[in-house]
Amino acid sequence: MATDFPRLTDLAEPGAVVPPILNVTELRKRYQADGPLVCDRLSFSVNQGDFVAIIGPSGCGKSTLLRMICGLLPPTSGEVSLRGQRIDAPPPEMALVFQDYTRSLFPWLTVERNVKFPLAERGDITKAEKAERVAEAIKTVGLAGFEDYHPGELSGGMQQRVAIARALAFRPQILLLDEPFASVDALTKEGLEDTLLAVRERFADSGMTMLLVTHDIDEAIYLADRILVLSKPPCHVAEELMVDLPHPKNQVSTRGMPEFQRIRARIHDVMGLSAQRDGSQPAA
Amino acid sequence: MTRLRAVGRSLLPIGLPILLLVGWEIGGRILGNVYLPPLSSVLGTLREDWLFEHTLSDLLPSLQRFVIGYLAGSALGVVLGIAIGSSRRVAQYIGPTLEFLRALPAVAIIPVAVLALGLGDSMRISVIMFGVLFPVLVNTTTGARDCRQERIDVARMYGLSRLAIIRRVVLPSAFPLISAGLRVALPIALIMMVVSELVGGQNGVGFYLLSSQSVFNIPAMFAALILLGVLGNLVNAGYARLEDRWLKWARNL
Ligand SMILES: Nc1ncnc2c1ncn2[C@@H]1O[C@H](COP(=O)(O)OP(=O)(O)OP(=O)(O)O)[C@@H](O)[C@H]1O
Ligand SMILES: [Mg+2]
Repeated sequence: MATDFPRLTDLAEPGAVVPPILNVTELRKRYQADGPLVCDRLSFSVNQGDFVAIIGPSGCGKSTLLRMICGLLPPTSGEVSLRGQRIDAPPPEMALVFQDYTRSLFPWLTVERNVKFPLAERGDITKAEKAERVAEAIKTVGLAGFEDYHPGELSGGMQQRVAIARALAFRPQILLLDEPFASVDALTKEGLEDTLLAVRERFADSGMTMLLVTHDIDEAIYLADRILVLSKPPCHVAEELMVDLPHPKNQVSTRGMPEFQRIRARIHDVMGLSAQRDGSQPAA
Repeated sequence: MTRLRAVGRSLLPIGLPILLLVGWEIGGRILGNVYLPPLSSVLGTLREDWLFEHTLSDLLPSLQRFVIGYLAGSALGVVLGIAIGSSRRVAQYIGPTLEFLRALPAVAIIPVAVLALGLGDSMRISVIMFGVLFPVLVNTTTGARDCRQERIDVARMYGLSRLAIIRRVVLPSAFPLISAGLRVALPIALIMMVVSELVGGQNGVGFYLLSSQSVFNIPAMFAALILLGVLGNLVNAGYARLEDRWLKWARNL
């Protein structure tokens, strides 16, 4: 099992180069044998504890990529490996918050039971701990008091927060988020962004790694240590940017920093550039 | 004036039943025809026979077979439907056979059932099961097949076994449709209950109905019809309330 695999960080000599926790190599995906290529030779790696944001135009294959990373969708060629081991089924230390919460929440379960779902079949956790984790996750996303509601009785943004709480209750080593704040208002969004940073801070010693797919350039810069800009489909990594903004972050001052503006200009440049290239394609 | 109109409007739905019942009473008295006894004499028989002499000897055995047949048929329908709906291989293997049997009018199975199982309770219960099976099966199959991939993926991601996915995700996803199948199956079970008792029966409401008719006890025959009508309505209303409660979550989807 992947869980029994020794942590590479534990083995590493001080000063030695630590191998990445996640390796994506030459990933290609077609949904049908004769269909279009969705991902084309996608490669990148993620270190333990990294916060990586993935941005790219709509329909470029971001959700497809996340589903391949967490073992739900087999790649056509190439591979994803976790601590050196090829992933071909969902590994026990990953959780994905799906893009479409209306489809991924269970409408027949209350908020509390939805959040408890990942733990329900687990025999290795006591009942008391399950309850504690669930309560904590619900509190973290600010839904305390709504435990007995059904998803159908909540607003879109609240449902999205239930989906996030569900992943948090699972306490994954690697958390994948597919546009988790797409349908919340700007204020709630800022709150949730900071919640995510706080969660990461809390799990920092256990090294929680986060991969966040988003449309929102500012969100990517604010949250991530590293940003992968994907090209138009078939997607590959068009640009990789390091973000060096001081912690702790602040919604007002961080966004006002020159470094923030510099990265943002760079991303606009990269994304605009690829659009220009596409525009010139018919002539070529 | 408007008040009067409001009262009139509230009487509208029960106007026709009252008219029919009054018409029955008057028509029965005027015509004096043995085949159409007045309502009052039918109600008299109803009270004499069914409070409570025949309740024990006929209604109870009928209900017993109804409940057992309905529950067993529904359980079988749900199990088979989930299997067919969530496994393409099972669907290919038993799908066509079931499709053929489904097209068969359920009552046509009775002569076969009599030959195979004799004239006892097991034949009658099997016949009810057969009638109930298909509406439940078809709905369950559709419900299980239409379970959203994302929901199954969530369960896969959190490491649930195939059986746990079926129990925790596929079954509840399909439940609104299963419940509709169970509702449709109720009157069918009632029909099969009565029809199965018309063949070589020793007791039951259907047996009472047929034996009353054969000795020209016309009021008793009509009394049995009224009893069955009341029974059917009670069962449907009871189910509607149950469904209302357990499908509350599906109302604002
Ligand atoms: N199940 C599927 N079967 C066939 N094609 C699919 C499937 N899912 C996605 N695609 C195709 O793959 C491409 C990428 O889809 P994907 O959902 O990964 O994009 P995305 O980058 O997540 O877009 P968005 O930002 O709008 O969510 C699209 O062209 C889409 O039509
Ligand atoms: Mg997407």
